[in-house]
Amino acid sequence: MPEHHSFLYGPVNRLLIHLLGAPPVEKMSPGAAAFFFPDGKEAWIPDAALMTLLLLLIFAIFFPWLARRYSREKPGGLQTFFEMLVSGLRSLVDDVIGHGGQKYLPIIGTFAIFIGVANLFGLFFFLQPPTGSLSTTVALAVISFLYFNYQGIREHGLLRYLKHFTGPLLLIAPLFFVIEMIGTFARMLSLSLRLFMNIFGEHTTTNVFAQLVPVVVPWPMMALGIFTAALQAYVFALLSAVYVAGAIAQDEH
Amino acid sequence: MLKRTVLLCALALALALPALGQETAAAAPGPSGGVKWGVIGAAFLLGLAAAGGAAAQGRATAAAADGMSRNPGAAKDIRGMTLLGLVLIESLVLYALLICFLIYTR
Repeated sequence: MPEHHSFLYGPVNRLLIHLLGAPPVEKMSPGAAAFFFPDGKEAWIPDAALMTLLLLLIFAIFFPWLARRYSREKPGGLQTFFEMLVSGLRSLVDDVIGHGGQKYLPIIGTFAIFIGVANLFGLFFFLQPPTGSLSTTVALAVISFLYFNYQGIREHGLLRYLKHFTGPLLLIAPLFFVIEMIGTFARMLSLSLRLFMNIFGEHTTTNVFAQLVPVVVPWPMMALGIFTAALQAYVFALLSAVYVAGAIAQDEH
Repeated sequence: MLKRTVLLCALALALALPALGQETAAAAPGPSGGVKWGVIGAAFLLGLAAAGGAAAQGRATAAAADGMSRNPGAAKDIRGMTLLGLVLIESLVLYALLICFLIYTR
């Protein structure tokens, strides 16, 4: 199916090629070239990274502006909406992690809002969802994986944290350790693949429908896309919170 | 009820009879010059995964509705757990879709 790029892809890459020349793909090994410049000689920055940078820009402009007009006496609609969002995330973190929970609100909330808005990018014809590319979702999953392992190690110390993987009996500890290790790494895989396949599948299907019948038929798919965007963001944040809760769980005493 | 099901299945099979007429389609050369086993495998995989996923999600939703009707006070907790369960089941179906994409683009 034909490649469909966002409105920033052409201009930004043309500007960069004009300033810096074509990407130096010949001077690298093929693996490195495919890693750094996935689009080959025609693009310095691929679409997913460009959309993530755009998202970053939007957040960097919008949220300070929103915070500046915080008013306790007369909250407008926008402030109330975001207060509801934050209180929803707070209750999520409280329910899942329990009494140490508020410490983890920033990162869980960031996952939820970033992934939610990133998924919603897929509904606009001039944008591409950054989470529709495996790069972004694997990056998010790796961050989540490193974060919950780091919190677990910080809470328990490295050896006691690893002891959690050995299971109940000493006899089957080696086998159990391997199984638990695989399961923990599989969390990274499942987080990234779930998000990627949902958004990529949604986006591709909507594109196919739009090519067949441009006007009315894509609309139910796009409604499903809105629902899926919010749901996948919520589930990513929820599962990250569950993994953090599992990592810091104190069950000895 | 059983007779209606049997009649419906017989009708569906009868409607599928023209498939016997197309001998040339299955002999389209695959990568080894024979039948395209990859595509057939991918189609079966996806159908099976979708069927299993739909059955599991149907059971989950039915159990959730049952629980919420028995105990309306716990509806919020049940709804949260139900959504999580549905998404986890769906992710398994999506793994099958990923394999199909990989087969298709190879």
